[in-house]
Amino acid sequence: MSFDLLQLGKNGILAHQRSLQTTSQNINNANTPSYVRERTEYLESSYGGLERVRVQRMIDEFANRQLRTDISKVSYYEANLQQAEQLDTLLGDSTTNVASSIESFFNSMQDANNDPGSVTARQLILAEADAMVTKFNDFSGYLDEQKSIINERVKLSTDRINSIAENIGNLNERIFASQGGSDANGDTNALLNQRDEELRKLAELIEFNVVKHETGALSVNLKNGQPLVLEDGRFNSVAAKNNPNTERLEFVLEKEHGSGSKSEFLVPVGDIGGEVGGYMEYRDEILMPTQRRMGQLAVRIADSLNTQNQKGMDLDNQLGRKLFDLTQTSAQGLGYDENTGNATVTMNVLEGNSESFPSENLQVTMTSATDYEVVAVDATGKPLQGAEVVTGTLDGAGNADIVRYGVSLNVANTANAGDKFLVKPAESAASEISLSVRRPEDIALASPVRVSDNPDNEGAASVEISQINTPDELYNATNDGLIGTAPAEIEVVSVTGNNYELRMLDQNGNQIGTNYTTTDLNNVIQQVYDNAGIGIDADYDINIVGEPEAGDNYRIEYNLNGFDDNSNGQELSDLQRQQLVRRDGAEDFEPTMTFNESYGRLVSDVGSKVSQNRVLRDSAVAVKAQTEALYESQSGVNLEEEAANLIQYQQAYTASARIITTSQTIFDTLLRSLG
Amino acid sequence: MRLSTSLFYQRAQDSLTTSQSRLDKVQLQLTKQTRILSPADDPIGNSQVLALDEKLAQNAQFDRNSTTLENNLRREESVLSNMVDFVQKARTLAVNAGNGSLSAENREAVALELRNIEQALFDFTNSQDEAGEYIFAGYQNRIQPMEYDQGTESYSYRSDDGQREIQLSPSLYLPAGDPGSKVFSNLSKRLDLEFTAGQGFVEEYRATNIDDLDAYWDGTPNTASATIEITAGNNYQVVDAGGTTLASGAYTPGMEIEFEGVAVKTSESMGVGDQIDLNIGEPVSRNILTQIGDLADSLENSGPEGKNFFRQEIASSLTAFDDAISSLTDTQAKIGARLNVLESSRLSNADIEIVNKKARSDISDVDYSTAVTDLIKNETIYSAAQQVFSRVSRLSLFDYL
Repeated sequence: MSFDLLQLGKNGILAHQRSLQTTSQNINNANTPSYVRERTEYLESSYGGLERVRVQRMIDEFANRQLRTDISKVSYYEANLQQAEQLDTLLGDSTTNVASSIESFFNSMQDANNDPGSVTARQLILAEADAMVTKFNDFSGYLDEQKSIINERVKLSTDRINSIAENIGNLNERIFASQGGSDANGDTNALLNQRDEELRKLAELIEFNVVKHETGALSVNLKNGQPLVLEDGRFNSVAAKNNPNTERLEFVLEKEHGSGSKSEFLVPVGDIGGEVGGYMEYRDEILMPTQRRMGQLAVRIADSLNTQNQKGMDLDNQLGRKLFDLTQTSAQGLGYDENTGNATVTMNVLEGNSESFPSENLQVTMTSATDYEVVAVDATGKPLQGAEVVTGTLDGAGNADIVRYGVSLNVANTANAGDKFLVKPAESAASEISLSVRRPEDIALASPVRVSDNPDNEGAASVEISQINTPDELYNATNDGLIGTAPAEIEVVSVTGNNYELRMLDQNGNQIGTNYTTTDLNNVIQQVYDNAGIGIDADYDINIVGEPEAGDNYRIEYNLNGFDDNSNGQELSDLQRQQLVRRDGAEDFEPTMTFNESYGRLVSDVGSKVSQNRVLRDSAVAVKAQTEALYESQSGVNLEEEAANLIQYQQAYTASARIITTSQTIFDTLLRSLG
Repeated sequence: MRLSTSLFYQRAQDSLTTSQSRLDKVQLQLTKQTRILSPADDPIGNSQVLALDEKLAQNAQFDRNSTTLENNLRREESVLSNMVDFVQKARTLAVNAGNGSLSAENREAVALELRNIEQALFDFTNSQDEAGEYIFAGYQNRIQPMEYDQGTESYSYRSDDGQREIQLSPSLYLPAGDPGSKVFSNLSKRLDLEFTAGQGFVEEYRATNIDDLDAYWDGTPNTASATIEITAGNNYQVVDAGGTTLASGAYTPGMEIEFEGVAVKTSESMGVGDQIDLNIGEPVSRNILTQIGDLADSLENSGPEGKNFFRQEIASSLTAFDDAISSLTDTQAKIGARLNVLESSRLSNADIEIVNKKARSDISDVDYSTAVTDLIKNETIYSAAQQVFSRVSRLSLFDYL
């Protein structure tokens, strides 16, 4: 009996000692982030009495997995917002935003319109134009910087992912080795804790799933099923590669085969998750569209102002020239790997005709060496749903004007059928526009022609300019006058009721066409041209307003020295109120937004995405907090509890020790009683 | 649910940082005086604010434009008003000069005054603004619009019909000036006859229908001169330089002979065999300056040697002066109308500005009472969190062991 007592006592002491150890360990590791609480479980032996204790690692695996998923989600939104909020604040700041400099530019135009002959007012226009261009350049440059920062971060993250994957692989091996026997060994727990900690660090970077194997190893798979860490300890690596097809950093998984060769699998941005996914989706969904829209706005402002300035006359008595230089915005096409031809593709802004210039990227497919198809695509390079596919044939020099997308295409060398190219006409446009006018005299505020009624006219009618078109055929080679055959005078030969017989003379005094009778006194010049079968589209036209009488005549002449005329200046400043920017590359090709609306949409899109992500982030944080509480309730150390446990096991130890001394006393008594 | 020690501290920390950031946000809103710190705070509101800001900036520009326009119009109005005064003075002088009791010296004095008025009006028509640009000059406002030709002793308008327009609202444009061609030059056509022989037989001459003469005259030498002769049989005959008979009929001494819209009254002394040679100038509309010059000229030459044709000159001058005054006051009326439109557009712009400003303020301005209440509330929450933390963190079972 005493023998049993000794044995029982010894078991008890050992067991309680173990419990005290476990409790101490818990107390010591109360603040260790990766530590999972351990608890001793007392197992009764089949003969009665305590057999042994088993140390249990108190973890709820389901809560653990959920926590990792939640961590990934929170990291994803945090990374996204870290970048997006910067952009959002910049867009909203009134000193740096582009809209205020556009407004100042048009205001300075108006001021000059009030005094068109003043050189000072024109100097101010140039200063404001310069400031506006600088804002565009600076903003686009800032976005380029953000792009490279994101690329850097993604590269750093992939390095970290790779080292974590390696660690997990190693830990898998060591856990397998340490489990060769019972799992009462506490060392395994420490390894398991380490592995869980590595997994949690990984969860911040990307989203993944784990599969547990009987060997105790965990294999880690990316969200789309691709394996990152294999159960036998091997691991694949990830990389951030610059895809030459799209000139965009992409996330790829590199698998090593037994033979030593590697194959690459692209991980779509939507399947990444975590911090890396957050950065990349920010880049694709917010940063790049913003940069492209900024480019589109810059192109439309520059082209509209250029076209309108060319319709006017400047202070040197010459037809206006282009105010902004768009030649540097030329975009090179990126050929796809599968292309077989050796063609190179370039796209330029279709100056004078860029109303349908989109903010999306374009894909050019050559269906033959000279036939092409152009369509707008999304961030991954796939044609946008609903986008118009424009087809056509190149001319002899390999050029084509694509009016429906506001660009001109040039294909050099030879393309084979099926060759595809990705072109990004809007992406760097805002960095590349510049001011090409330096002299205030070059701003064309006046109209190039002026009209006058002959003071001897008997009738109650007067003449007005009805339209000024882009100068084409009626101006001389030095752009400072009309050619001899340009319309100069309209004479009313006879009037019968509502029918007016008109005669048109040119600058040299010769009649153009023949006498022409009409009831419509609007746009008479084109009417005379059409009636006489002359295939000229008049660069300017007039209306006769009122009722002229026979013998009345009206003169048209080049507006030499007409510096007080601000008609073209009014047209220039009216551009601010016209719908000149195309809304969506997948929708109607007609422009439906004004400059300010285009900028406003750019800002509000970023703002609403940020606002949405803030809400999603907040709810992800709340969910994570819940999960964390659930996890901690199982695995976290509570110092109060451990303190109580200390007392409990201490008392139990003392009691068990007592058993031993009791057995010793019994034995002593027995021995003494024997003699 | 079991609470772990680290979770407890984490929770406390979280609540402290949360209330701190809420406090920070309210503080920012108060100092920046806007509810929308970045577009994400209210994307729709922010884009509305952007659109409103654009409208407000444009409105401010239109205000500036209307000030410039008003200055231009008032300057023009005052010049015109002065001109009207001077033309009226000329008119009075012309009426006085018609008084038969004046001597040739008196008439010369009148002529001198008229010359001064002529010069003053010439200066007015070439008025310049503060930048040195001519206000009545159409589009070519760096070139003096009214020019004096020594040879023909006349003034002409050599600029164009252009009118600069100033924008007062997205759809309202008003002209900022009037070209001289419309203000001074639209006087009715004048008769221009010069008698080269037989002046003694001419009593008076006038235009009965200037348009007929205008239709007849075509610049050829044939139409540029004519002869009135009394032929045998007491008939008169008007023959042009080419020999074509323009008019003929029976002659009674002292009758008025009419041809091609012109009527010449012969004197009683003209009889058979006498003739009058005359040159016919193009009937053109003269401007007021040339008209005054011509009147002064004929008054100067109305002395003993010159002929008394100044009466005809006076008659046509009066018509011309009336025409000129009416043209000037017409333009003044136009300017007045424009000033009225300007005033009402200014008022409506001011109304629109108020509406837009209020809309903008409703969307983006911080409501001070709400914000200050929030600030105090968050402050309280923050300090409560701090107190709770310091209390509860002191409790530990180990203290009692």
